[in-house]
Amino acid sequence: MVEHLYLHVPFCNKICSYCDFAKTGYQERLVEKWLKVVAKELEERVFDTELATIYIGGGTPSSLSVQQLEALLLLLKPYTKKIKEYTIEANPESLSIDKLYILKSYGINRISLGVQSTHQELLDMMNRSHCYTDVKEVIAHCIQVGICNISVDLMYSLPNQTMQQWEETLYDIVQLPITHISLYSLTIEDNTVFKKKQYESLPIEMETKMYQKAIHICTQYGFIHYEISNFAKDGKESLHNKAYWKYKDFYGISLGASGKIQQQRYDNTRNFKSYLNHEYIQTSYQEDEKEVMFNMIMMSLRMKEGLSLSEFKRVFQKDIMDVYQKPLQKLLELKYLVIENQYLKCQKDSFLFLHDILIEFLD
Amino acid sequence: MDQSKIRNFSIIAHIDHGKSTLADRILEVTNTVTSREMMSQLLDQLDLERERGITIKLNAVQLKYHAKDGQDYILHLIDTPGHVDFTYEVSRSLAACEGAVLVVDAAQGIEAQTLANVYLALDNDLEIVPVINKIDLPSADPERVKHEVEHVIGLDCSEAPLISAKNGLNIIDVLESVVKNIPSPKGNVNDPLQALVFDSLYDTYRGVIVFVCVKNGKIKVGDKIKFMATNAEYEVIECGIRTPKEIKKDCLLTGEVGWFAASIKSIQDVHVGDTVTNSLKHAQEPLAGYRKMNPMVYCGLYPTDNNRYNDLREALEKLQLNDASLQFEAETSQALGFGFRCGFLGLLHMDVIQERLEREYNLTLIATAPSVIYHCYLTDQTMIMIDNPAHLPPAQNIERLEEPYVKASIIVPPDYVGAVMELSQAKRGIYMDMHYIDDTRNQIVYEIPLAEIVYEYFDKLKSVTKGYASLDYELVGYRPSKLVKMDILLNGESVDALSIIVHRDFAYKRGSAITSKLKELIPMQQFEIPVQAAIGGKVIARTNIKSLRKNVLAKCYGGDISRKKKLLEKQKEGKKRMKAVGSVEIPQEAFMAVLSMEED
Repeated sequence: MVEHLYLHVPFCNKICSYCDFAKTGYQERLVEKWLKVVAKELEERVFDTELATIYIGGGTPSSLSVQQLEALLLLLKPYTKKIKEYTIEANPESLSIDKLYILKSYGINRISLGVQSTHQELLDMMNRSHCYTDVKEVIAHCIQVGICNISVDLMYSLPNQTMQQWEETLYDIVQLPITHISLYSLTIEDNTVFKKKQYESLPIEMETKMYQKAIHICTQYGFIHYEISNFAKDGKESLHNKAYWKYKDFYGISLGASGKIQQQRYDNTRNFKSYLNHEYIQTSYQEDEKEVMFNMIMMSLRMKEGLSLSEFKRVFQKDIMDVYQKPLQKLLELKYLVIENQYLKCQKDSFLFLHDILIEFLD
Repeated sequence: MDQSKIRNFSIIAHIDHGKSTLADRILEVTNTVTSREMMSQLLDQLDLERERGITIKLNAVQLKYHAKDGQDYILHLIDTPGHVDFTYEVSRSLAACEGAVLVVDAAQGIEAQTLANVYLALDNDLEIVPVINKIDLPSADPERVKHEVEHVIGLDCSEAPLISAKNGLNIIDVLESVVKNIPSPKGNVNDPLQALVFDSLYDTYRGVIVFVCVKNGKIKVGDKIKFMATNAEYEVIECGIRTPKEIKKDCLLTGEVGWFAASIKSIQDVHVGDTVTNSLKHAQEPLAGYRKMNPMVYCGLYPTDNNRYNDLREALEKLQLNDASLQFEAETSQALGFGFRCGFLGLLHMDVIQERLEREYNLTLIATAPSVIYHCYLTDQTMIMIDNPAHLPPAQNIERLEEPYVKASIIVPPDYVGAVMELSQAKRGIYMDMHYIDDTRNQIVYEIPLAEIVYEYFDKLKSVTKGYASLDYELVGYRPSKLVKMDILLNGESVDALSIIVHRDFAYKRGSAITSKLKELIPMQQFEIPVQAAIGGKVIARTNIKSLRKNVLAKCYGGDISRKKKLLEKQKEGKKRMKAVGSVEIPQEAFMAVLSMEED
């Protein structure tokens, strides 16, 4: 049974300089067409109706009008009978109070806000439309309508970003009434404005220092560092994202979304025309057991709690110590990894070189 | 066959002056290969040669030519490499010839290796036939270049063929000049056999194939032959020539250049430069052989997988058969385990050998930084030769250290003379001489420590002269120098394979450059690891290894799985060429980083 669903809203009012997701400028008529196809796709591809989490991401879901948002939520309604966590991404400037009331009425119980920075010059550089005042205001509105589980996305290692700016942003954010913080270390992807302008993210040393600074400040303010790049107040860890990290199955719906069902991973098309022609899937890929094992380890070790050894055994009917005897012996001996209470996890500073740890698991 | 109708010759030239192209055209016009079989640079057989557009190995072919005098001639053409590293190969091929075709580029004129190769040919008493190539180039100035050859080398160019090998223009003139000016081989077919071994290769089915030039007597299938240096005796099973296809014959007569196989399974029996004689009709003396080149540059080669040590030994033995200038002996490194210290003629040679080992023998290797041979005079008045910096005795036992110097001859347009002199001085060069070749080129002579040439002189020379300079060098002897051993410590422990010998005045700069380079190259570790450069226990530079690999901190959600996995696989590829030293994994590039001179 699949319990998780990601739905991608490929529209934005403005394109951010770092973004390489599937998206297009907001056009009313295109959204209408898109909604029809999403309805069809859900009908044709989603068979489990008792979902535990839904995540509406983007793009910018809040760029849709009140009516369009309602139409979308209506499409998803049949799947929300047992929903535990229902998240939508939003930009501060476009999440009006009337939209918030609609979200609340359809059971949305978590908002993920794309804040990125509280510094105007950095926001301008990224081509973001909001300012810090908008952020404070929209958070107050969320709480006013009764959506109190609020996550904030922040970016660091931005071109020319200083440590002082980063510290200030962190202090600005941790003092707000929010429950969750996701960090994004800037990776400059192909086909982004940053790439075209030949911008570069900061040197690795600076990136590390900023990361460590974030850990320091977030934990100081009561956010638990539960995944490499995520922090949450007690009990407010993202259930949806934890499903990815535990390598559970999830549906991916709409343009550019990815999904995984049993050992099949698929990427939806990023081409609007194909999508509107109901050609949803661009590539799909059957994983063998070894790949599933590796991916589960790769994702699970991102979490502080690590990989549940009993879960591994339950899924594969094999003991991880037998499958990965050599790498595990080495990594445990070097104390890069530890086993505690039947969980395999990173030692204190091991997040910083998780790639090298993971490479050991590749043959 | 009439011995007086045989001509044995080589083509010599500066690199890129068109030697291999001319060889191709000669094969074409003599119908040795049909145009259907024609493949560009036919004599360059190694994949590596075609890819890099250079000739590394010599090659010999037999051609038939019907000359304008109405006579049929047999020509043996021996193609030679042009790079300064492969002077040895050139000298081998010259020993098998009576003459050489000197190719000079009609636009560039004489270059450093033109001169070096001419002197080599003259040392071998060869008749030199000058040819001016590339006359089709818009910038060609054949009259100037002819004048240059006459003026600088002293060869008569009045009848030098003006050709374009690329366009096949006037190739016949070259052959006519060869037939007319190069003497036929002198030996006597009735004398006891004396055949010079100039090359060999290993064939899995037939054993060692020996390439010879028959100076006296003949080799017949069924003959009992003997290698005079090793006294090994064999029976000839097959012999023949190459056209360049292998053609079997019953015998090879005086003046012929060809090959034979004799089920030789023991590689050690065959030495390039040795003389083959007949066991029953024994020659009194071996042939003079030729100048044996000693390796100038040494480095350690280690398999990344220790279990493949014996495979590496076998591969080196087989390559050595085909490349006598390659030397190796077993060595052990605390850091790298079992491997070989190998001697090469130069950096390109080292590069080529490493690449051949990896490609042809499927090995993955770690090469340590190249080193020259130092003469180390101890306080007890004895001298030891050091080809591995890690083996340098403690400073208190050393009276003095000497390092090899070369005489470097650089030919360069006048505009760059200043830059070359500045560079040469910065590389501890001593100015010797300068003269004008013509209005457009000067020859500058410096004496420079070989170590500097090995490190980066050549690359820098190319860059400060925008590629216009040409370089040739020869060893002139050893000179005392203020040299010290610099150790590199990782996590407080000295890594023997990273030790280098440096000039004291440059030690501090090198030390900082190396440590910061290593910091970039060695991937993160659990704890911060100090990288230090030390001389005699005193730390002169230090950095810490960063504790992060790019993109570790990047987000990773449902849609990022494939991308993440790909990235990890790529990072794993990079990690393959690593060697674990204690708990620190050192990538191949780190061993080369000790050559790094970039100032941070």
